[in-house]
Amino acid sequence: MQEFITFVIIGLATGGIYAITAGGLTLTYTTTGIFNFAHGATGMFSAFLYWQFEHAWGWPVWLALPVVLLGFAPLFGIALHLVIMRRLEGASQATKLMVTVAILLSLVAADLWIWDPSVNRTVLPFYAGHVWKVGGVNLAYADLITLGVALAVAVALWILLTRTRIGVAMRATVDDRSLAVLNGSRPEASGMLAWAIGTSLAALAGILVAPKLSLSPLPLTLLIVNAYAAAVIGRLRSLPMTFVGAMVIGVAGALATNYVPKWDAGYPYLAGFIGSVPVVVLFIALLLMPQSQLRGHASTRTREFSRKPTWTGGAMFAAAVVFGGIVASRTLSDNDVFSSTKMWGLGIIGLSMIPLIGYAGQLSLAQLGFAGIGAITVAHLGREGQPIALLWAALICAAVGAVVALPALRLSGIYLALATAAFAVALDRWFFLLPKWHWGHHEYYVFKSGSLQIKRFDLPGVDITGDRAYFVFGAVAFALVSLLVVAIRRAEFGKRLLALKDSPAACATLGMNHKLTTLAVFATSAAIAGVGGGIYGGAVRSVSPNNFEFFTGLSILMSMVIAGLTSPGAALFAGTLLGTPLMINLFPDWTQLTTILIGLNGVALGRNPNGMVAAQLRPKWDPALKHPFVLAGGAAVIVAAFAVRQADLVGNWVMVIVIALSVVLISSVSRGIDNRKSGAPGGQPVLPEGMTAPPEKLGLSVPFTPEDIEALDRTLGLPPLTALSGGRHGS
Amino acid sequence: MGLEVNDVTVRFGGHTALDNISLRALNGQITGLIGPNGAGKTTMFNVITGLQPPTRGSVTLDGRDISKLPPYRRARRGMARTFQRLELFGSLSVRENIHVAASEFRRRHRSAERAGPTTETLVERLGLTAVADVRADQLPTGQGRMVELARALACRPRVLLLDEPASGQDEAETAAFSRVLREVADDGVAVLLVEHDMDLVMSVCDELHVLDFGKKLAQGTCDQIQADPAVRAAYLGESDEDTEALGGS
Repeated sequence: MQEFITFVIIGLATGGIYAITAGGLTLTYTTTGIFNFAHGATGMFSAFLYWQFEHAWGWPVWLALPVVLLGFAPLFGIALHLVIMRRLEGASQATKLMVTVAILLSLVAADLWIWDPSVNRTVLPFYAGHVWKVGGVNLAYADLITLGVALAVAVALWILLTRTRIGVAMRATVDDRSLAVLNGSRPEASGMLAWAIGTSLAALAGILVAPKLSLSPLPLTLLIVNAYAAAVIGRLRSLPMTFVGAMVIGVAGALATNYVPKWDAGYPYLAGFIGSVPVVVLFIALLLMPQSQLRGHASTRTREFSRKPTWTGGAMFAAAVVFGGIVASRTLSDNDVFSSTKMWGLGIIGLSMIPLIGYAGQLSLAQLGFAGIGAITVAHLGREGQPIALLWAALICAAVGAVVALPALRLSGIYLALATAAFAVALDRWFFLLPKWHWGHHEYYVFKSGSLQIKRFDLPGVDITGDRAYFVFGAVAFALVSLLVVAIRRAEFGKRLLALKDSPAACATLGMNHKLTTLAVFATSAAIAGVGGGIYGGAVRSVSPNNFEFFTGLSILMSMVIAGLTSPGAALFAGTLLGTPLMINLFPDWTQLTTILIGLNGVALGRNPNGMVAAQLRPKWDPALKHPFVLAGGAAVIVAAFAVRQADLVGNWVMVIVIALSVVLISSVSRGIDNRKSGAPGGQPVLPEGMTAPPEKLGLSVPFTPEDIEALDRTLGLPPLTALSGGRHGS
Repeated sequence: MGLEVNDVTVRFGGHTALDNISLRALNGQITGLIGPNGAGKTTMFNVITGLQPPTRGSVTLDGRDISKLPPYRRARRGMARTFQRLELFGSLSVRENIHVAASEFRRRHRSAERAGPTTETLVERLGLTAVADVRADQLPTGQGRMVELARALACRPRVLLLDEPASGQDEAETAAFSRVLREVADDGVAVLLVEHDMDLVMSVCDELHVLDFGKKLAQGTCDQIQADPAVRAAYLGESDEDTEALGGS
């Protein structure tokens, strides 16, 4: 009994930390409508900062604590609001969420950069070692302090939101921002206040929880998932419910930590489950949520667009990918080819996001988790290298994807994102870590508590066991899947997905079963991710749970978002950036650079939600599709360059330069032709026949000749001067 | 037969948006639902189409209770609507907007003899040929409303609910619109029309229901409504010019 009480108290203290985190999350969400995924990362960063001040520099607690909680954190929150968040007005829910994911990635990368992750750091709890004995139960001061602080924070937040003028104004802002402005409230002020308080609370939670976990970036960042569960119990609105939820989760977790290890038979299987308790609670909370009303998006005209891809464009892209794959496989060094083979698998995982997130506007943060399931399937069912295992991977992932989407179908976008995040974390913490088990005479395993070997596929007629051959196989697979994605967009299904994204309410009133459509696209995209995972597994040959971490998945998603979630080119970008040693080769000393770049670019999403490919690259190369001769000429030069290289007549650099030049020329020549035709600025302006210069220059920078007069008359439809008597203007 | 709403009440917290309202929209007739802003007209549409569950009351379509059905199943029973705040599929072209609805219908009636109207006939009928390939979110409101009507008609509805279809339309568009409306009703569709343009309402409606602050104020033919003193008082104020406007043309 004493033991039970002890663990309940510990659980309540942990619950208090969740409550502080969830309170800050709910505050920013209700006030600004932005669900801050980076909430945990902010807390993590603050905890490191506190460690730096208090531990490394030896500042006293009374100085270090206020500097972090009242100085750094609120200023950081205000900066977030001013620089990033307030620009997100009118962006879709998915974009808003992605921006906060980008902040999360940047913070983690910055943290790993500043504080060497290989050093072990600890933060001591406040009043370490002091306990208070009540009736034989030892209560640590730290736990009591945490609990007290949590209660105080909860009450203060509640009073702020319901009993003060500014609090009511904060809640009004999210309901109808323009209306709130008309009624004299200043959304800027309440937004800033919300971000300042929210960030401080995140920092407080980070500092309080750091002694309980080790001071390392990922566990602290993912603490957020536990807090989500509490926030969802409060339906992202009710602070009292959030508080109760946080306590329930904290106590359940503490009891599981204590009692599960005592059950010898079950412990190995449930070891990971302990960490997943909040995730399970989150799932149950989602199941119990009432159905959300269908809403239209009429009020916000989104700035995001999805251009309909053409078959020619898709085919050109696929051909270019395959050709590029062949060229790369022939020219790169052995090492580079080996470490780049995985780019195609990652690319396909990126492609899997296009129908789901790009077309249907449904967020999934678990695509890499599905890829993990796909890789496991291929390892188990393709032991002899049977290619059919890829089909199994697709089918199994589709089924799992549908099951994951089910609880969130009744709910709106943000909850689907949360459900998938919870699923990915549960895979990370539990399923991927399961040991072998026996059922009857059969032995089952997932990752064998280590890594799985994957045999490369045994295709009829071709041998792809070598790295170079597998690289080309990957490129072909990627090209085929990119065509599939184009096909989905062009088919009826794609139109339904876009319609669903634009207005779920209108879809329903036209008789479309939006739940079934969402389920279908979710399953499709999970299946594609599964295939990607299988091909990825074949590339790296040996996979372990580390390959499919939730966090890596976020990086893939972010690179896709940056490049543009509706373009297959974005997946190529994501694959190249994350799956090749390109960045390491270019910047060997800057290991965190990739993540930081991804993060910073993602932060800029608010300004250009359509991504790089759609905004920058397409306008430049699309015109080429209208000029088959230019395209064919360019292609011929490229192929010739490759052939000459194959014949060893020139070196790699010459070939690369020729290919790069041709690609650039294809774009500029076709745009030049277009400009000449339309006479648009940029090319030579089209002058009426006979004129020597544009009219505005005549007589100023060039002489005004009789030919010009004639030409002008002709253009204006006037009779020629010579026909008039006298010829007064004659020269 | 047609659409029947029985004793529907909707409360939002302490606010009663609809108070015990019943109405009927008969096949082949155009039934008007009028009232000042905030009278509960759009809420009534949301209740009928299933987007808003009522606190109390029921909705029947051709004698069958559809109160428990989700919105898409009501649509499949033959209910279609347009929205006061446009709900176009902004990233699709006008043609694709209509096509999504038409193909949705065709998929469910593949073998049936009543094949829905094709996308092209609808584009032509509603005068959208010139803008057929324009993205829907680029359209002015008036044309946007035509696209919503085309989309609704593509579902071959038996009950058509129109929420302020003429607001944002110029006179020519309104004239074309009321012609289409009459044709639709003559095909046997029950049309329920929410509209502020009294000229349009009085010229096309067979029967009118007047709502005010969630309560039913009056019901009857256009002539009866125009003569009703309660309607004059509540809906138009008591000044003579306004009464003129109601009785206007």
